Amino acid sequence: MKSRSFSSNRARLWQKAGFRHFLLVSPALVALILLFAYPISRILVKSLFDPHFTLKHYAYFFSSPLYIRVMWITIELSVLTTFTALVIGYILAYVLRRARPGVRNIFLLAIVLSFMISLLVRNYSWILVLQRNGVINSILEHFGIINHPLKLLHNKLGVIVGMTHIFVPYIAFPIYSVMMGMDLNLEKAAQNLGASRWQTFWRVTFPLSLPGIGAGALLVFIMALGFFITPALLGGRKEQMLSNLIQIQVVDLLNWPFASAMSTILLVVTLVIFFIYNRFLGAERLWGGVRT
Amino acid sequence: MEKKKGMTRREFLVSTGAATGGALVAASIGPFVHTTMAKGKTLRVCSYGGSYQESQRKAFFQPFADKFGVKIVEASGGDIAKIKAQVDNKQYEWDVVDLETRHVARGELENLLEPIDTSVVDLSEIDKKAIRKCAVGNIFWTTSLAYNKEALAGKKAAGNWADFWNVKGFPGPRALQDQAPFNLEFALIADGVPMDKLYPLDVDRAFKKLDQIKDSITVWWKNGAQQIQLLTSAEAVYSSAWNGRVNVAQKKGVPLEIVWQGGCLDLDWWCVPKGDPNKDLAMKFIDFALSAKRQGEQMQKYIAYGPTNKDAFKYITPERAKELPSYPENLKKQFQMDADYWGPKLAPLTERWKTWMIS
Repeated sequence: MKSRSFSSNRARLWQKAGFRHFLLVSPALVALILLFAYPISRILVKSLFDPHFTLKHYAYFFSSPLYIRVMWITIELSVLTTFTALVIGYILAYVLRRARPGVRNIFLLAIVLSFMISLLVRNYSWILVLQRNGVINSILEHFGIINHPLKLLHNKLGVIVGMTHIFVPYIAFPIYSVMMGMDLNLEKAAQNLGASRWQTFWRVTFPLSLPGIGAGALLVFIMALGFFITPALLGGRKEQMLSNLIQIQVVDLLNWPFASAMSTILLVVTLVIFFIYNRFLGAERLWGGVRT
Repeated sequence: MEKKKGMTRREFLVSTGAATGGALVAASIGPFVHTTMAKGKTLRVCSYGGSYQESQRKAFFQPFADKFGVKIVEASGGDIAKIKAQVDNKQYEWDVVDLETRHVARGELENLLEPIDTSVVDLSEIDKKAIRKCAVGNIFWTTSLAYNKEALAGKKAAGNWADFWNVKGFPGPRALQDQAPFNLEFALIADGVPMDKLYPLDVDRAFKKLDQIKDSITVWWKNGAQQIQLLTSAEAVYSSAWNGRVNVAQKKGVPLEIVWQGGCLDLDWWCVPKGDPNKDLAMKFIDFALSAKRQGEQMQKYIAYGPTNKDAFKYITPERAKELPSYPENLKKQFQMDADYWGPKLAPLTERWKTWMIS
């Protein structure tokens, strides 16, 4: 009698907490396995078997000066754009937190709108602004500030401007939501206790917004690693990204095993960065930070 | 091979989702269907979109559909990687594909294309340059030097690749495409190599010549839309460009000029993926689209590329003919891209090109 009720209890419990949750999660789980885990494992297999087990594609990657250099360029551009997007996104979130609700809504709408505009349109808009006879150079020349057009495009600067523009919302929103959950009275309390505005910022506001910074920066850095349309359109000859070389291997050269090895290496770099983040800040902050 | 059966079936259904039930049956029993049974069938054609595919729609797709009662389903953006995926998994999404030369060369090397069935496709009027084992040329097009006449402000324009390399004599910002093919050839021409002696390329000499101009190139363009945007906005006064795009811009009133001298004549090709069950109908379409009348109409009315059918000029006015890459006077000034040279060399030379770019 007792054991039966225990087992039916347990079954009910399991049904309540576990099974129902599992049912709810299962569509997403199936989609992730089918559309994400399965293809990625195929890529890994493809990079290691050609047709028998081999590490030659990885060996080739690490022995060639081209791929190592381009990997560093990719990482460097990703770090730079993450940093500039972080600075601008932080200021934006900081101002929005303190703005009147009406102003805040207009700004939020503007940011959301920029999400909806195609990447290509935004890149071409920057070309119009930055090119030799573009908006900025025309204005500066008109007022006699410069005699020769500045080179703002088709170099590292152009790429950083274009990518930063795309990434700012991805950083501003997590920071903004963290700041919205922050009690502004804490700042008042700090100032009440004699802290200057600067001290208040560095010792109260900034540490409290760290989860948002971490989440946004991680998200943007990982996205930047895989970017290539913007560097291709706004960059110069040295702004070559790894994903661009992967595309050439896939589409033009049909060297899928090597392309798979390159993709795997890019994935490993991403995972290493995620691991470092997790080690020092904790991955749960990613989701927690966005929620609070 | 490793794919699960269920997947195969579903992807197959998705890929032909738009087709009728009859077409589904026809596709699955494809090898046994004769072209005489064309009525009610579907032909899936992949090309490159834009005004180019529009010209094909008017000159080939609609007339073919009307004449043979075939439904044409269009796609765009074909490349040999997508064909390899279809051939490897035996799930055909396209029956006829318009491909660039590098994809054709790679496709022939890797046995991904059907040989052209000469019992169906009549090649007697077709230019020898446009005939390969697994592909027939569909248009001639040219990559050559183009410039913005207005931006030169009365200065003498560069008239060949040597002038393009002469940065002091012919000043102005310049652009080239970020890839090895074409550019190595242009460098050698600028260095004085006769156009009929380009292949096999003296690669070291070409890169040495490119070193001279490397820092004077303000933009290395990546796609077709970019070259015209650069020239139109005078971000680059000189650039290598595709003649068809330049022609479209000229017709819109943009003051661009193309220099035929030293241009690289290339082709787009009709191909059929290896093992396509619908290949008989595909060959029939290719034969139809190669006719002098069809090509003549396409080039006269819709787009400024060169016909590969030698008799097509009968249907093209003399004024229009002068704008086309395969017009005899223009043809004399150009060289033809050697697809068989580039086929096996593309991988190593692309790596060398990219290494050169970032250093």
